[in-house]
Amino acid sequence: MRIQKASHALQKFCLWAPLALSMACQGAINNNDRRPSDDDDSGGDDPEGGAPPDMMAPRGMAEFTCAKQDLPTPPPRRLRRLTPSQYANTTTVFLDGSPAADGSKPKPVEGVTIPLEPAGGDHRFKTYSADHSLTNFEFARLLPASSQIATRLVTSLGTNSCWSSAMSGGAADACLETLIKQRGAILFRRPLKSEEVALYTGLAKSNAGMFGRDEALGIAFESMLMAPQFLFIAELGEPMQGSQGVAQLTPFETAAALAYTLTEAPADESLWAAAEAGKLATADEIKAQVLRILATPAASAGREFISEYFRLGRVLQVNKSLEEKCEYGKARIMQDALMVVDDVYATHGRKDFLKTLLTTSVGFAGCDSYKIYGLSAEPQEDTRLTLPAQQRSGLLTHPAFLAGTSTFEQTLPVKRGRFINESILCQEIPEVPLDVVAKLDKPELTMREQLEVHVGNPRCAGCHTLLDPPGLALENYDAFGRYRTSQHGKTLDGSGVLTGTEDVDGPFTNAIDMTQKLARSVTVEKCFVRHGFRYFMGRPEDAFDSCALQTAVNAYQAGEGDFFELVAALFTSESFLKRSF
Amino acid sequence: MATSKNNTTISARMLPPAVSRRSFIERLGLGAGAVLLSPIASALVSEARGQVNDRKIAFFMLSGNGIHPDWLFTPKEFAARSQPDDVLTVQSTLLDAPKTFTLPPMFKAMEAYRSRMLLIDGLANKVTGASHSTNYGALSAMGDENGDEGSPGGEFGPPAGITIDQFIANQIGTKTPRKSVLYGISTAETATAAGHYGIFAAGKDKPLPIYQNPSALFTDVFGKAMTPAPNAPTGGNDKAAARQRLVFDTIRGDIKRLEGALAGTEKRKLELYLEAIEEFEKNQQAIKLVTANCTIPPVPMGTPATPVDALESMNLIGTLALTCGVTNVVGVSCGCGPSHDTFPDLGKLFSGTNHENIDGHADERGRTEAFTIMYNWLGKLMARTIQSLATIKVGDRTLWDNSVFVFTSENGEDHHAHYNRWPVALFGNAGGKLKADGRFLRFPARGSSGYRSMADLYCTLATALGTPTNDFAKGGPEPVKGPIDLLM
Repeated sequence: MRIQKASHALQKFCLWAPLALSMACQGAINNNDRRPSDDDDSGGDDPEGGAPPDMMAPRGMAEFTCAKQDLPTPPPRRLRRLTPSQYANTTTVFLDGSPAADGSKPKPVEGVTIPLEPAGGDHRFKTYSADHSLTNFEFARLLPASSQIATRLVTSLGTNSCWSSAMSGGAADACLETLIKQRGAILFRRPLKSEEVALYTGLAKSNAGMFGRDEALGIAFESMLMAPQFLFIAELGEPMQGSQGVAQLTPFETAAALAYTLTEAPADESLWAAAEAGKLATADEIKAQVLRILATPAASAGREFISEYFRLGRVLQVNKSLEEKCEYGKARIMQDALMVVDDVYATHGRKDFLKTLLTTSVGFAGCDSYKIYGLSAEPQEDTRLTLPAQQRSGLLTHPAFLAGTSTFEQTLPVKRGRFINESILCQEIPEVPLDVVAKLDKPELTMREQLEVHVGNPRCAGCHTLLDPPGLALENYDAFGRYRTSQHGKTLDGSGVLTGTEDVDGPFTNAIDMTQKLARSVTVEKCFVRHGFRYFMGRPEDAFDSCALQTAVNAYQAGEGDFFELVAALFTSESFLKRSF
Repeated sequence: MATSKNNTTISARMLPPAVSRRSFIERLGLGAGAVLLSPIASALVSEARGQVNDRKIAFFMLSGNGIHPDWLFTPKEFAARSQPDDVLTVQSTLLDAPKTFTLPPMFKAMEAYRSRMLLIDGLANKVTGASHSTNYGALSAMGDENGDEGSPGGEFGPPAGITIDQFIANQIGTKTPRKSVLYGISTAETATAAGHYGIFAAGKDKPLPIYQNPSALFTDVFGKAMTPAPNAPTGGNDKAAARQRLVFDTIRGDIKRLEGALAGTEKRKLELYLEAIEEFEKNQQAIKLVTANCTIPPVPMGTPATPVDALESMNLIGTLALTCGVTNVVGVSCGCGPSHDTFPDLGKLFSGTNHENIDGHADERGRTEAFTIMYNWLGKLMARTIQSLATIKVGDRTLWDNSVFVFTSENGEDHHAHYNRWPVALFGNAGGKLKADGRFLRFPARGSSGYRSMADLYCTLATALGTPTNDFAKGGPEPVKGPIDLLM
């Protein structure tokens, strides 16, 4: 359940200097403007007028400046509820007793329904902490799931020499305490406090008479599996001396945040050992762990973040006419896109990461997607392909993005343009005014012809000068993501003018040229870092975070596009390590 | 009918394997299209032995995106359809039309109940200045006519007061195990696979969850959540209850210790956890009462493959809850809130997404037809429920005789609505208390002499259902004049 309305904090903090966009879309946004997200169609293809110019102003958000003396307090202490996959991975490790030795991801527990749901909320990323609580729906499933997992663990202990051999007396007590401590540490992501050990061992011991020894232990485990210490990742910190009302995350809290954000699973042995030894205290120590984890097979953060950043999952939500002919498989196209992301992560994770994501011509295809790329035959499974560089340039020209920003069989250039403006350039675009009725009812015309009306209408021109050019550049791709050069017998013109960057504004000849320009832009880089902050910190930025953002940009740029350095900079920042209370 | 291509948003949310509606219904122990009689035979006998049928039933169904008055709702004899912005043009005098008008195509599925139908246009409910959704404002009639997105009464806004379904349920739902049963479908970003919020509220800042997973709804209504896992330890009921109590007490202690370190939103997360435990315990108590009167089919598992399947399955469960006596109040939400629902099962007009069909403006090419198809599908759901209620006779009346079905949108009259004229269709006369006799009424424009509001309609409904009131939604954006004489 979303328990807090999106704060629209972005509108309230002046960390960014508005770019010189007012020339195109003049005036300021007043407080009554409704703030859309780039997947909101209501600001969609709408050539029929709009609000007065002062209601239609976008605003640049790519800029931020670090002014340490002006910083307010750190973000408050918080609880981050487990995601479904974090729950699944943790319960697997709980049953196994320790993480996999090879660093691979845990396999889900068979036969147990994951009781937790993905976060709701209307935020940009599903990692946002504010979106996670525990609903009635989830609780109703949590109870049987906890019982099932606890019972399974107790049953498996039949082969454990300690539990099966020491039935009573001091040895049995010691065994019980060891079990509670070991398994509890996996669930709570830290060693149990002495009062917690006493509570759960007490549950097992005092109820053995009524329920039997095994079932009483099951009650203790079941209670732990439903404890808030397990279901919510706590970021409370320890009060810092000399800084009233400010706390610093403990080593185990730091370890938990790293592990669960980067791998969606409990800390591996190395990370746990570092926390236990107090070696997560300095920036260098934390950075070393971040860089190490990102290079392990368990690290899923790059894929997850990029998938959400480019909203690749939208392709799964749009039905397409070609599906009936088995020429289009949205699940396969999504898989193709994720394989591209994985490939870029593997080859360019440490250099030119975003640039490569925006320009790569590497592709993957399967039996119900190869035709979309214009291939004449199905490639062999998982073959790394090089697609024509004059047709494909990165994720903005990938069918997953293109089909997800189209309808059944019609492209949505304004939606595509809105995404590029909002997510790639960090421009804030006001929503279409209420009295505008969207109509694109001349299918015999090209989109460029249909959107011509924006040019001559001052109510539309302000924002559509920004929205339409990048969207129309992508008209060389149809609603399925297939490359095309003409429509209705007319040659498609992908040229336009890019606006809204500090450094690469100006004309482009087509979509490939546009993406190459975007890939060179510092504005785009900064916007990428801003979104990285939101994803990895699990919240929108506020004034306290300006230095963390600046440091992250510097780290990314100094590393020549090193994604690992970017993530490390975020996790060593005060925005991550400090909490107010 | 459920194919992978239709398995849209819900499958993307990592639900359990999808099953077809037919399969789901069969697991409910019902044949497709069943009138829901066989599993409740014992309940029927029990009801029939009663001398007086004083059960009142209220059924609310809300559809997202507004109901365009002129293009869809108004009988063609009275509709002005020439301009898209006719919706803004309302008349200053009352129209009380004779019953001989042509039934609007959107109500074809409800034709059998025309003699107990009442179509009402022109009621004002200006609870927000934003559009796309009034969320809780639709049924609470509370909000701010100049409010923005996020304000009470507006899109994403919190509840500013109790919604009429709950107001009525507080009276007619006190003797049933569940005060109300709420379900619906939504692809809004605020929705999760199990459920969502946004329409019904128990009071100010007290949103109520809406189930959108049939298995979860069934479990909640008929209480199989405590069914032990196959390999769980066995024991008597007392033992199981004792075990549960131990676990719950431990969690409560854990929560109490943790919440001391937190404030505001973060503390609220733990409070919600506590509320979930309490709600669960209350449900268990209620379920004991139900199972004493009604034969409950086994829990159907899995998730219907499409939103259409899901809502149809849930409506069967909701109907079962009514006929079984679990509740007297049902609330249904279909694509309400900032939702982008689409229903490929309903035909090729629904093959796209978002604005391409029902999430767009009703007056655009092809969309009037799509809306008509969708409303008739929803009408069929209501008709099935009415048919079930009409079959259960207690004393000299059926359950349908004492019922009122309310069909409207949570966004008034359009996709970008102004909330000046809010179309509402009523079916059923609440045991003769409501003058639902096949008429079409259009009230004078907001601000004209004699204009009435949704708050007045809600006073009317509450009064007709045995909860007399003159001031429901008092303090809201519209003046509350009390029950509308013309309707009673």
